[in-house]
Amino acid sequence: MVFIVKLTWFFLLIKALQYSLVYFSPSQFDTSTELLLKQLTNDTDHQLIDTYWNSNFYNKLLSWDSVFFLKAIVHEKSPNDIIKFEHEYAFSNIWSKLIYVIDLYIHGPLSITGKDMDINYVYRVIKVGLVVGNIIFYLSSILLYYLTILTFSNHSTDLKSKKIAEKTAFLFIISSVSGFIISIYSEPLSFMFAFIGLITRELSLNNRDTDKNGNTTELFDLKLYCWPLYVIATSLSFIIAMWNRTNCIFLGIYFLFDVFQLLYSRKFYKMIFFPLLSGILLFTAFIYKEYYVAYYQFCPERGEWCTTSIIDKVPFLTKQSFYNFIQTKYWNIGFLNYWTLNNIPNFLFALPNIIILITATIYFTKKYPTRHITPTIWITRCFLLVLIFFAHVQIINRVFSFIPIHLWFISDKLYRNEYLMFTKKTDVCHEKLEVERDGIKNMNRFTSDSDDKIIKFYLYWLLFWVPLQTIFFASFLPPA
Amino acid sequence: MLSYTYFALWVWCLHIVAGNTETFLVSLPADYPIFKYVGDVGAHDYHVLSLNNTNNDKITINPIVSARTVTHYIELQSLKKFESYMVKTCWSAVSPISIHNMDTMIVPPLQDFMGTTSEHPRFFIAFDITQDSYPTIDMLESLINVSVTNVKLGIPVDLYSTIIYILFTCGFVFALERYLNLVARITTI
Repeated sequence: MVFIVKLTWFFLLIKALQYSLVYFSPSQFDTSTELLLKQLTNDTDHQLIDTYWNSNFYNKLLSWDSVFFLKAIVHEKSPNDIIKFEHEYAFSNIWSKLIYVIDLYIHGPLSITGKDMDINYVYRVIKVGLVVGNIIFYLSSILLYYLTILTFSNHSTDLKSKKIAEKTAFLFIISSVSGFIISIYSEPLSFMFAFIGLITRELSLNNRDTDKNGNTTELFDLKLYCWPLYVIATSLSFIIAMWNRTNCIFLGIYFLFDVFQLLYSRKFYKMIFFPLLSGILLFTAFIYKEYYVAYYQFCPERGEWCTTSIIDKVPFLTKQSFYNFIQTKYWNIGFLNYWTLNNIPNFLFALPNIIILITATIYFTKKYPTRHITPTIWITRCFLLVLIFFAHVQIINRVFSFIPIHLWFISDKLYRNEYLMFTKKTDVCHEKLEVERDGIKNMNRFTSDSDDKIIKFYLYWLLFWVPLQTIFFASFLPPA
Repeated sequence: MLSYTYFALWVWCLHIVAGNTETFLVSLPADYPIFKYVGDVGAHDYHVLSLNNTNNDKITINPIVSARTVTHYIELQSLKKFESYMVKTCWSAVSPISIHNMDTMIVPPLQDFMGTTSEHPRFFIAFDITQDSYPTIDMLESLINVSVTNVKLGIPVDLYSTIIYILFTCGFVFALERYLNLVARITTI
């Protein structure tokens, strides 16, 4: 309870500081926000756009991707009057629908639609979006706390897992995504459902077997009575996370990992009815959204992407997904397409997260091998490869938020350091503590100072980066 | 040191900013004559940005963009020789247009341009606007902000306040870290 109170105050403090930075930021480099508001509403004389709080605060929060989300919310309200263009489908309609529905529930319907859209409605949904995004972010930090306890409790004492979980939750609030979650971005919805899915998966796992003598051995199994939790709750959470942000398809690697583990231990029925079934559900949901729905919305009139069907009888199965197509066409996504000289700064912006993620995977594979985190390591490696070689690399600062491996690495390492310092200073000879201490000492033989240096560099970077990113966002400046 | 490196990178990044903003630097040629803008060229269809007694100016244009590429011209007035200016076009990301081929052109004295003539040379910026999404609209209304800003020490003057704000914030964070040991506190949570 004390932890929750501390976490809440910490969250409120960070958000207060960030919104203060937004308020005091002097101007916007990109001046298109006023044009957006003009285009979405009938406020041609700028009377409401330029009120004190709108011009000094809310307008500054309409930068980069939030513009698309705002238009999508307004589109939800009057779909027949506002044209939705192809490239706008790259942005989550689940997120915009959610804000639209919550606003409808709180404020009730508004009679004005289309080009006569009331400017008050636009600012109303901006406020609802901000509150919802921040609440989800806060709840996600608590969910991450529980997820971390579940993840680490299999390998350490309750005290250790709790300490690591506390550090992880605090770090999450000041992680690099934080600079963007001051506006109506869709990331919070995805990382919240990713964490829910991971928690329900963890609860379904049986990682320990205790014999009559009380000795425990590590194993991999799934609890039969947890079938609904695994197949329904986990799959559904991953599907929502993936539908909201397509990159969450990587969460399917957890199912793949579980399939291999159960195959290895020859539990075929469990393999079929747990991870395989869940994986099929996730994959089907992916095909449905990215191929089926998109195909029947745009084809055959669209041409281009529509004509790339692989099988004639299943025309919606095209060579690339719709998301991939629009990303390639409008954002020049593709193998090494971003590797140009003028993008060097963007690679450098991404560098701290690239370094910490690579170090985290090495830490959990070579230094402190943890089978439990293996699928998370696979996901990290795959996603890193995609981001470095195919995508706009600087988005790593926000899109990696659904994989907390770097936060676990920092927390785990910091805990070990603290524990070593503690054991050096005290002569406490409690039996249980000694067992733990011996374990820690054995493990620490393999530690190197480079990890500590990287963590120190990363934390210093965060200390400067989060406020700077907040100002960049409020000033409509890169990186996006 | 870290923050300064990042700041330098960010300033570099401004010149390559992508998305719904295009920028380019312009300056008057060395042999461009000095004269006072007084003349009225008569009714004209192009827009004018003037830096008379100011170091930045902005206008909102409302071009109708069809499926074909449209070239747009804006005259820049009262620019000074040996000075650099940043021309910036901004449009909302929800407007499915793209702006490219940004360039400058000089219309010589007494030459007809879009039905107008002037006894002085005229300095124009030109850029192409095309629709850039699906579905394509026959007559797409779009809004574009075009601005011209004086560049001093390699930085557009309208960014000075933001840069000072960023430096102040960095200094504040640095001072906080120095006196409150923030990173050390984070590590011992």
